Amino acid sequence: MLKINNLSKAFADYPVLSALNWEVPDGKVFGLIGSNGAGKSTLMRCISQVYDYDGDISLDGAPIADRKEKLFFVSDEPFYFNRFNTSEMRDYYRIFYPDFDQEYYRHLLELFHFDEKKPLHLLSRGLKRQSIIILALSCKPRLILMDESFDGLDPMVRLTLKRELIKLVDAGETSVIISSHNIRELEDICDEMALLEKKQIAFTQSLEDLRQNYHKVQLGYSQAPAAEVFEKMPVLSYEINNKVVTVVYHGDAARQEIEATEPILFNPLPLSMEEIFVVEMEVSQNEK
Amino acid sequence: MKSKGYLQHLLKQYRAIVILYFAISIIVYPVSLLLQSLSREDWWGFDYSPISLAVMMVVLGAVTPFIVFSFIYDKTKMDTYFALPLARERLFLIHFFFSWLIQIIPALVSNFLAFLIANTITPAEMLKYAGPYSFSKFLVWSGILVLGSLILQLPSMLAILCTTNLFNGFVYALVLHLVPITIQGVWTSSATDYFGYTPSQSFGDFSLTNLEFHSIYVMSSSQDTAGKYLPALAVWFLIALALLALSSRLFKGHKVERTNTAYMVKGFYPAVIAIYGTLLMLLMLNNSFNEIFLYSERPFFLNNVFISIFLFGFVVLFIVEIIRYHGLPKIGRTILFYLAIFAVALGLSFFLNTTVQNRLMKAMPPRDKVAKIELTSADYQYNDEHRQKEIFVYPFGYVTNYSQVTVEAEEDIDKVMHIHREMVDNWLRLDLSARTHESMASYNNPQLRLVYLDSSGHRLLTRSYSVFSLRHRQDLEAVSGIDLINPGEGDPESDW
Repeated sequence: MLKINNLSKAFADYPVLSALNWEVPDGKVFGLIGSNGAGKSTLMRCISQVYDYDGDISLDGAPIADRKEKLFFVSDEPFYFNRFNTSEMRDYYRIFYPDFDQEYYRHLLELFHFDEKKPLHLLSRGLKRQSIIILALSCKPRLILMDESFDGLDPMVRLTLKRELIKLVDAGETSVIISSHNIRELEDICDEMALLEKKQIAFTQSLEDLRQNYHKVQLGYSQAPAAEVFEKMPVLSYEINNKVVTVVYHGDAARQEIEATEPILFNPLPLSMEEIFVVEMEVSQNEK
Repeated sequence: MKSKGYLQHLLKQYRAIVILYFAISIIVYPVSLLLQSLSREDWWGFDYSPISLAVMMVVLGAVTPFIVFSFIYDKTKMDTYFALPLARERLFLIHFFFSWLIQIIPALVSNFLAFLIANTITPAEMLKYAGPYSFSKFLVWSGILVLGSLILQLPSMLAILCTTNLFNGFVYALVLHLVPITIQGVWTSSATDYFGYTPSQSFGDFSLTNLEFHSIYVMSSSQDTAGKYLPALAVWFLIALALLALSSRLFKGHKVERTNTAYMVKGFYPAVIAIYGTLLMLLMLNNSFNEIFLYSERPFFLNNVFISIFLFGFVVLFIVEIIRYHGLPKIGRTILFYLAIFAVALGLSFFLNTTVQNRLMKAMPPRDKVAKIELTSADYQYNDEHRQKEIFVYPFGYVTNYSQVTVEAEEDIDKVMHIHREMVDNWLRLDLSARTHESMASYNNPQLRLVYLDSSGHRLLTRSYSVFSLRHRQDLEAVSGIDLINPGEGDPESDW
């Protein structure tokens, strides 16, 4: 289990993360989302020991600095040595990761139809990402951190990767944290989502819970309602269009208050994960 | 295992650089030695010492860390390097060690090939001037190459770790590499112009030559006097160890997020500018010290040279600040910074040119250690027929017309030391205009060199004087039994 306790990080005098606490259980694929500048990449770099920080980060009870061979960080920019190919990069990572699985590496190459001998500088950005992801998975770490590493992957590769990640997570104790702006992409891959806002993890929930607890309804009234009515309600967002009001809410209390306004129409609408996080981020930012 | 594997990886990553270094090392030394040996030209003054290799290593020592540690200026690369399961100190040491190895192995191979060539192919006649390339010489030079290349990469290392982009890194590395030579320049400019000063055997009593270390110096000095380079090497090796420890600490605390921003280590820029700026100002003030403080008719702050130096230094600092801040700096802060630098330089210049010089002038070896004193008087005349008995005497250089005697009787030693002390005291009592006149008169007064030796023959102190006082001349001639030679009186044997 990854455990972050009271993590703070500031650049010059500007705090980016402040007293952040977070626990990532084993065998999960976590999606980490947040607005621009929320600190997703900074959090990733603190966990992977690229940045110094205040606070404690531990993996399986030991300081993460002592467990780095169980951790693999995939940066947003693919890293490779000049004129090296994937096979040579494999040799590089094998120096540091004693659990590197050669057979699994071969399996992934076949699965992705990847040519390990092609120099990386000749590959597209997407293929370079594939290369580093193959290497990361082959190192068999306990924790894989992917900083916007899925951007630029084609849908087929993403699907294949998703299946592999699920297999890897199910088979052992590997956990994966993926940060992205693209919530739609994360929705395909992750079990749980975490929102990073206001320098802290605002909430974490499983996708199932999110889908069950967040609702979007279209309400119809005989007369146009006053905005103050919804202003006082614990709803996440509302939009009044004459006699029709669209509301996004969370939990039973909000539902009861909405029903108390006696709408003549109560029409549930589909709610995407992206919409959930957009309203959550708006709420979080308005609270600032 | 990790370290070994990583070194192998680095070798693969930088194989092109390694091949290039081997090629350059072999071309500049053994190949050139081989070509010279085969051509059998330039026999007179033929020199097989690895000076060319040393020059190359000065350049490689400055540049190689920038190649091997280039990832420091790249945030993406740092994401990977610092996330690796390898402690930062170990990562640093592996890269540093690798940077050193790729310089030193080609250099040692070259040195060995040159040793073989000098002992097998080079004609014996060509080796008359420099002597045979013995195995002990080979070992000494190899040792100097090993230590020299270790030391020479540390200024660049420090600059890399304290800066956030390649341009700044190069500039600061250049400045840091120049610091030892500049200190040496400052010292010689402030301590080579006093009554009694004697170069070549100078500083026997107060050595700051230890501050000079670059392999060219060491290489050249190691040929002449066995062991002369050892203090310099030892001092700089200790400094190198301190810089290595500091670099390792800086690497461990390296802030990746500051890459390509204004600074990495907050006080680095002002510290380097303050140190190097002070040295340069000191150098300029020392070189014009007499003109500003002694021979000027106006107060020093109204002296043209002083004002020129003051303004020149400010303009240079202002330009440096503009480059540093990519625009106009805060003028008040720049002025204060400059005034602080200038005040320190002025104070140090005054101290070196008065207090230190006076101490050097008055220096006398402890009486109980003096076993004999060698007195030499010479003039500038040189006669090829007498070449076999030539000696070097300051200020004339190599001369053949000289008188030399060594006094050993306790009573004579006391007398010579007494006269020596009186000559210095008399000089210090002279007013400045008289000093100027007298100091110009070395060709019109008898010249005397005094070398104090201990019981094992080691030099304790060496000084050369123009003997102005007739009484001192007579007393010295009486105690030594030789005639002091006055170049102005001419040489009876010469046709001049």
